Amino acid sequence: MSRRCLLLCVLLSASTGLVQAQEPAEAPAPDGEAVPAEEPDPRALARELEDVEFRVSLPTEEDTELWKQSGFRFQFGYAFGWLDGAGELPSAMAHEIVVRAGARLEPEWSLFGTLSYGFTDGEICGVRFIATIEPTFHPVPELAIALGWGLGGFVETASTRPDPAPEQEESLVAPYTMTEGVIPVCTGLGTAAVLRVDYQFVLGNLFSMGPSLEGAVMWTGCEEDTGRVEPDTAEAIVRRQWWQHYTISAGWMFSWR
Amino acid sequence: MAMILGRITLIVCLLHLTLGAALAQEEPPPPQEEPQEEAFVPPTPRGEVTILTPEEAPEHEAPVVVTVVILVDEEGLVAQTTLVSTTHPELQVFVDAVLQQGTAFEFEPATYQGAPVRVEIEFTHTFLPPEPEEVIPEELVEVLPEEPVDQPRAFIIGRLEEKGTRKAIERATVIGRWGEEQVTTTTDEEGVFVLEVAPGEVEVEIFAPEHKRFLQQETVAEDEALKIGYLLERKSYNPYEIVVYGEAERSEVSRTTLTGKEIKRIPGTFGDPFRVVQSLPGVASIVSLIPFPVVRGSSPSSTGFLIDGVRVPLLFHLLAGPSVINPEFIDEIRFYPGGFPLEYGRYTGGIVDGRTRPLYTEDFSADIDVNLLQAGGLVRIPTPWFTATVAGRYGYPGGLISLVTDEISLQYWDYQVRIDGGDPSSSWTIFAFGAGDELETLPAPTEENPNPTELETAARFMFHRLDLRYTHRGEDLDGRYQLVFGVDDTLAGPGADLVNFYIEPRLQWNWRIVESLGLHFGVDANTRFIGDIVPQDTGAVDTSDELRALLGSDNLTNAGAFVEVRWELLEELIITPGIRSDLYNDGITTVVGVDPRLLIRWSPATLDWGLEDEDTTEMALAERSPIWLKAGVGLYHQPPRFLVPLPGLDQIALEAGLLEAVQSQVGVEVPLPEGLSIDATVFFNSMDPMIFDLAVNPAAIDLQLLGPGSLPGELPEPDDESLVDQIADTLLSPTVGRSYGLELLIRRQSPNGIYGWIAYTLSRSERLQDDGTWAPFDYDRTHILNLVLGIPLPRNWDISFRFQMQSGRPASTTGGFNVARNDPILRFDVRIDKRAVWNDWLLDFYIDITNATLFPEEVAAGAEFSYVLPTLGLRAVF
Repeated sequence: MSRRCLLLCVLLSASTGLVQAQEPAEAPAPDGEAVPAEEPDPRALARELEDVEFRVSLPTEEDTELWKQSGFRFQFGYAFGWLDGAGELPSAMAHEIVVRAGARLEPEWSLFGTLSYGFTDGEICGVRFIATIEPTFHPVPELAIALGWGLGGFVETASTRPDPAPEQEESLVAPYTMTEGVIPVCTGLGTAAVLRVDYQFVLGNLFSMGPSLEGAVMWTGCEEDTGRVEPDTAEAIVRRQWWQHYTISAGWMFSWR
Repeated sequence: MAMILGRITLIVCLLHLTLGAALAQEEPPPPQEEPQEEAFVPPTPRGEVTILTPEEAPEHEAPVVVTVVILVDEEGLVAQTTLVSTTHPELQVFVDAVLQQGTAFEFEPATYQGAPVRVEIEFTHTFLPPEPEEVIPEELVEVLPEEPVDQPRAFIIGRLEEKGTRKAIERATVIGRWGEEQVTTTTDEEGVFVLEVAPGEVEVEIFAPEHKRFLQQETVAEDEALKIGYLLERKSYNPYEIVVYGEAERSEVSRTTLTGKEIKRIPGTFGDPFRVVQSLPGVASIVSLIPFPVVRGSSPSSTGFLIDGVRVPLLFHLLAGPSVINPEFIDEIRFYPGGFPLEYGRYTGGIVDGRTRPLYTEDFSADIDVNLLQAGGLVRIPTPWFTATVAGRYGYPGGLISLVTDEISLQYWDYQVRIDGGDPSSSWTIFAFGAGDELETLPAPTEENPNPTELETAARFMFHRLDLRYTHRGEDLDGRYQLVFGVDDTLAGPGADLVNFYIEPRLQWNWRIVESLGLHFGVDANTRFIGDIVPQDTGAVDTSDELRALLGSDNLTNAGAFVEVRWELLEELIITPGIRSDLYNDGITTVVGVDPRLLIRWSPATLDWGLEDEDTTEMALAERSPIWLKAGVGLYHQPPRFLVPLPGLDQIALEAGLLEAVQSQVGVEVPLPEGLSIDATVFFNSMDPMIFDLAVNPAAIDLQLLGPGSLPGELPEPDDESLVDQIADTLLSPTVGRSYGLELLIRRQSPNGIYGWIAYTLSRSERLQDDGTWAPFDYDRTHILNLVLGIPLPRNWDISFRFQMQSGRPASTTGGFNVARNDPILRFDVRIDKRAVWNDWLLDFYIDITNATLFPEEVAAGAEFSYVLPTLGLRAVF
């Protein structure tokens, strides 16, 4: 056994903790220099290595391949959109925060849950929200086409719309559904359907981003509280109206896997 | 012949401990009082733990890594092996080899506080591919030398550390490849390895059971020793990986213990452990955002919020904000909706006890936590003698509020300092904590200042506590000695500033008399001195006299003693009788409460789900847990307390006497496979009298219309003075109540897998009316359903959901008191957590959206509001 191999054996044995001290006290190194007599101490070796350069792993797979693999995805983004009310219903602009969480099920399909909160300004002042479940198709890996359905609604915090029937504020004795005019303040829930298209530029194994385009239809059951209660049933006396809105928005989504 | 080396890595990564019978009868002091490293000793192999490569194994080019969980019993034998993961699922033969040969391993058993316990350990075996055989043409055989010639060599000396935490990675398999050759070695306990390679380009590949595959390319010259460090990323940076289950010591009828992710990653709680209680059976809400629970139909003031058994004067900042204790200090939440142990006295509803533990660490570490509402930090400082943990937070919700209005401002702060020392047999703790809240509003216009613009303090709550503890454990007797000093300062409305001082001693012992008989006894006291009630120079009405009348005299003392016998009559039958007596004195009135209680647990059968079925780790837990039938009855007393705990405004004058309740319940606990369990309880509580009961609904007679000319449904507006008098009369008048119902909890516990629960409560809480009939309590909610689901995902993602449904609370109509109902409460919360890993630190990011779908909530008849509460948070861990 060469002396160089002897040194290696000692180092290996010490580092794996498999052998006890048993080697010669001193042996010349391959280049002729003296080697320490005692068995190398792994702890000393570790201390010696404290200041060394540390490296991370090289990529083991291509980033684009990783994004095609099944697994969890999270998206967060901003969008700017327009809400168009059907008929005489009010319209507004919206600054939207979009949160999406889901899973890439296979290279061509994903399933997402999306929460979209739009802060509206214009004839509607408040918050519009949409929460949908969205099966998503990827015709090419970076492109996503999603069709979703779920809840939607408004929380209107202020309104300058005139009351088409101000006498109802005082005359109503039970909940009433308005069929004419526009309810002055709308807060309520309904349903929404969404079509979404986005494209993601892969910028790393964990991060991508890209533009997003969304179109939606909302049907909202609006309610306006009169502040009074039907004293025989404790039911709130409210005015109700169904709203239908078409919305379109464009934004930028940041994605993590 | 192909040479296949086995590499074995043994890492204790999760510990499912079931404490043995000895521990069960001993009712030991809470394990969090012990240094964790000393309390648990992992199993060590007896002899070699080697897996032989099966003869029928196919050839493979890449290493095949198989990870299993091994259940090691109290004797050190392997009771079960379960597959966790394999790099090559298609090569089942390797999996079978590990599963089968692993059952033959033997270990020195793990111990917990000196007693052998069952544990699960993770075991990884790497089957290395055969080294390529050198094919030598026959014509060259004759010319080859007999002895191999020394080839030029080089060395790679490296150290493996974990990315983010910089911990050394031991027993990792390191492979060096060049050309057709390769060498393999294993890192030692310092993460160090040495490879002898050929000079030139060398590919280094590393496999570690808990870490991602590592690949790197190196160039080394002849006779050079390249010194290098490698950072390996862990597959999962789960901060709740180590979980110790200590179920066998249970003697209560109703207790739910939540730990780990169950208390810190539930959506809608802002990561606050105490808020999770709102999702448990038996708990109704006043308003869904207000975290004070209505437990089994009792008033919120009947439920105690405690830290390690000590009352917290202000649990939630600004009453609805985050709790005043940094969540990192809370190890588990113990929730008793009723039938709580005798050590908890002076409450008639439930108990919520946040148990802390020493935050032991080998290295200095720090967390910084920032979100939209607050910023804080926590530092752990280890020394040879003790470990110190210091945390502080500052809340700035006023910043967000200022976007909407400049007429109100809110801010809060809190701090915690904890120093732990000693050893498992004798440990000590100094725990100081405190908090302050301040609400500023625009004062009402006066003649002198008709247009006020500067905000003034409208309410201020502040407290400090110093908790000194010493715990000793002997062979037969354990003792815990605690002395708490406190000061509270509350600006109780604009009229008066109240300053109180407290001293709270607590002494408790556990005495194991014989194998089947144990005694738990103790004394505790609570003394309050009113330092001062100072009228405020704010222009408001001086309320100091009213405050003094409400609180009684300047000095108040409560003192109690209890003794509880835990008697294992049979192995399957545990009877726990006990009695507690408290003396209450407020300087004017002295009253005594005597509370006898009896708890019985009987295990008629054990469901052996575990070892015969398809093995999973959770099944082993179930296999160790028998079916328990349980029953309890007891008498409970408490002094009158303010509606919600506020510093200095907790206990009020004893003039009206003590509140009294009789609690009774029967139930069953059934273990199921896959870490599931079912807990069902039927309860009946009688509450007579109740004082300061939360009653706000108007009587039917108050719902008479204004008369001709008034609007439909328009009611007379009570003037402020009569309204205040009416509320005060209602609160101070003794009432009689009862509640009964069914609580069901289906729960899955898993430190690394899917966790959650379904909690359903069907109940009725009623109050006796003047006419002798029973009417629903103002916050009675017939159906309460909570669905909580947490899903850990790869790459350090976690997603969790909570859905809550509660029946609407009663409403009065002209037809009678509380005969109608408001709309039910629906709420859907979602939370997403991500832990990002940098080379030297970790960054936790979370988004928590409360009421994500904006379900409206009717808080009173006709008063409805919609909200969504998103919270973004960042937490850096160094």
